[in-house]
Amino acid sequence: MRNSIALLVAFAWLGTAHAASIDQPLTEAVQEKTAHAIFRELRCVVCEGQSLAESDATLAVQMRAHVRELVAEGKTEDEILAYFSDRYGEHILLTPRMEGKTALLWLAPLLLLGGGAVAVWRTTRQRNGENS
Amino acid sequence: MRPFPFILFLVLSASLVAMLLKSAEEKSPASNVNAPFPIISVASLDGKTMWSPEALKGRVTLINFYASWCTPCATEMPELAALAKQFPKLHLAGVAWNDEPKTLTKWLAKNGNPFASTWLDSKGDATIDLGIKGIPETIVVDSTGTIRYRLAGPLTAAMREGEFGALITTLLAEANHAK
Repeated sequence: MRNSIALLVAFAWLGTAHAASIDQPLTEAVQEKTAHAIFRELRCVVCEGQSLAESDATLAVQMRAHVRELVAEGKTEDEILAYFSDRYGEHILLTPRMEGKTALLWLAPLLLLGGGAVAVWRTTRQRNGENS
Repeated sequence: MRPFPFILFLVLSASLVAMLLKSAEEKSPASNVNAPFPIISVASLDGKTMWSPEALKGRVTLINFYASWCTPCATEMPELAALAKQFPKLHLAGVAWNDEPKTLTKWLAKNGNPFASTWLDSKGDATIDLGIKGIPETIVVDSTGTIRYRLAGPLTAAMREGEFGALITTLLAEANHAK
């Protein structure tokens, strides 16, 4: 905790910099639509709870430009999301991918619900048995 | 009804969710340590030269991401200067993020310029390519062009005199041995 606070004090987050550049939309409407779909899938890494689409932070503006460049180069949505998660980690993806290490995250709610249902069923059955 | 199984179930569920969230958080910072340093797109201060990956070959390089508007970066400059003095064979390259050449030149003159080469990442491409979230950040690259260490936050005297300095000594010895 102390280390985290020290890092915050000693660190200039790239969201607070001056001279934010302006978004330059792609000329092709289909490509721009793809870029926007990707903006909504990526987390702003220097903000709290915002997607790349919503953020005005300088790094977010630059990331949007970077996404547009990759779209213009012909990269697919999956390739671009992989590019960002390779560099910033899975945390940057607002919808985590279903794969080995995240499978438990996806399945946990179902497991918890199933476990809860079994516990309720067993307790109810036990109570009914005691009452009869 | 016995509350114990329900309380146990709730505690276990909460622990599982907390563990998963913590695990996701811990896995989130991408680490490309031991990966080759990428080919970054940055220009020299005068805009005439572009970064070349050849610059990394055969020497140990410290690449510091910083900016003239970044207060912790200013406090780090004397440490980088001391490091350059301590290890004359270490190549120090500075990459300024989102900065203006004129402002940066004045700032370097004021704070002391420890860098053998200075670059501008005006569009943030290099910063994004390396997964950087904040500055200063220091990346140490060995003589084969492989990233060997990343430091988020400023370098301190204790680090320079401790493990960080020891790492530089080891890498310089490795580079010397490879020649």
